[in-house]
Amino acid sequence: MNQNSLQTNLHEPIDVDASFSRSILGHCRPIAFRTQSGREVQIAQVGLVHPKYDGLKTIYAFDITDGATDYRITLDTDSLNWYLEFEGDHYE
Amino acid sequence: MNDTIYIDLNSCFATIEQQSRPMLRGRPVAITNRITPNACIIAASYEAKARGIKVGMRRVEANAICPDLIFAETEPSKYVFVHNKLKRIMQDYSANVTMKSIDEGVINLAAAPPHIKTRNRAEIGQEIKQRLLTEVGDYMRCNVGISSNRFLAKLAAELHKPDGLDEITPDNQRTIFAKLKLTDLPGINTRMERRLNAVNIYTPLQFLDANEDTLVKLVCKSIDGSKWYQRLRGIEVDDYVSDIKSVGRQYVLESRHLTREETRARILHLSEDVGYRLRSKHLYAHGVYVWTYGYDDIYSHKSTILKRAINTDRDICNCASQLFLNLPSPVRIIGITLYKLQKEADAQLTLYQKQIDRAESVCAAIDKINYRFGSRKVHSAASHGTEHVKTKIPFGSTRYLDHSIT
Repeated sequence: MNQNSLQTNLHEPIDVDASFSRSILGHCRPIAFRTQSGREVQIAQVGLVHPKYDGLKTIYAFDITDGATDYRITLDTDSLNWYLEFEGDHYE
Repeated sequence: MNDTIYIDLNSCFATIEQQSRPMLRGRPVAITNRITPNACIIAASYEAKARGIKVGMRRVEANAICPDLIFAETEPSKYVFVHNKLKRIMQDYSANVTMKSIDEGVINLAAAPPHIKTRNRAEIGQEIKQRLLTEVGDYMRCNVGISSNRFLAKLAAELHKPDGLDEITPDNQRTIFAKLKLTDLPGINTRMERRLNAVNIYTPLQFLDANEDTLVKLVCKSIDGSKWYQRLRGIEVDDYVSDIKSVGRQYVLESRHLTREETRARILHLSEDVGYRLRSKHLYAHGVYVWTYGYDDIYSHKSTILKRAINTDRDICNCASQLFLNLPSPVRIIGITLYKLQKEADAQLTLYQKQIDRAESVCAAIDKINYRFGSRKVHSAASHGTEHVKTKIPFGSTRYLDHSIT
């Protein structure tokens, strides 16, 4: 199985429900997101949250899963918009 | 007192991918720089290692051994993030922290404040493990080695993988050494083992008991023998910072059917990358070295020493292209290295100083734009269309782990 070759770079604007806390990780935690087609994904687990840089612009990448599929959603810290970047393999 | 704590992330890239993608946890995962049939595995998860997958294997070989092996492509920004997080955690214990590579570092507690210096070392090690779990991710594991110098601390960190914590003290050193082979010691490869065998040293204990004269005069035939003598006794001889001797990059070409012009564009891309790195350290280079690996595994290279030290993309690209013209093709891997580095431009002005100053100003302006808006927002037309020649994992040096990797 090829983990990455089945991923497509979507960069699709999405709506995100998120909670913000004073946790030691110091970041917001996405709870669910909705795509433009109206599909809603409940986030079961957040894997890694890491910054990516485009020059001095910081984009936070959230690697998440709904329990069956891995996703990456990003928060553009300039525009404060959320995007769905990747939708990974189904592992069954 | 054991003041050195060595931290080593377990199967670093594979573990970070498993942390990042929870669906990969507990599965055999192999990390490659590119998803191609001949790609080489640069990291494997513990599950993959248990199935016989080894670092350095080709993807086709690995698939034959483990058909359900999952391949993931490297994503440097994740690894740099974890590296920086780990470094910050380590710096909370001492101002003297050295990152040895992207996945390992050393804390020297001799420079620590008194309230940390007096703490139990194993307790600090355990706390670092816990902080990695809570501050990076719940799947992250590291090995901790504690001893009186880097060599013994690294050895301690390698004793129980994964997730080990060991301490080597003068009291337990002989017991630990008795269970090891010479090549289990950090820095002892098969070549060094042969040299030790030649003077009847076959085990780490015999190595420890060897006298300094034997190591200096018969084994190493240099001062290195004395360093080994001290290293084995827990005396620190490896705490030094070396100067940058060269700046380089290499790239495995994506196809053997690239035209010479397309290959040249990739050489120029690499030249611009090494130029940016050189200037980021405020250095100039006198030497340019271009090399290739052919499909027949023949290594070819050309180099030149320039009278004037250079640091602009234009000069580096021109020089690299000229050298590349004299190399055979087709090639599989290309590389460029700048060497004979110096910190200042040449003091002697040339007849063309105005043009040189102008080229340096243009380069500085381009660097500023790329730093502000992202790498390669401005680049030469000749290297257009080579955006896929991205920087991959920096295994050795951690000097360039900054915003340049995204």
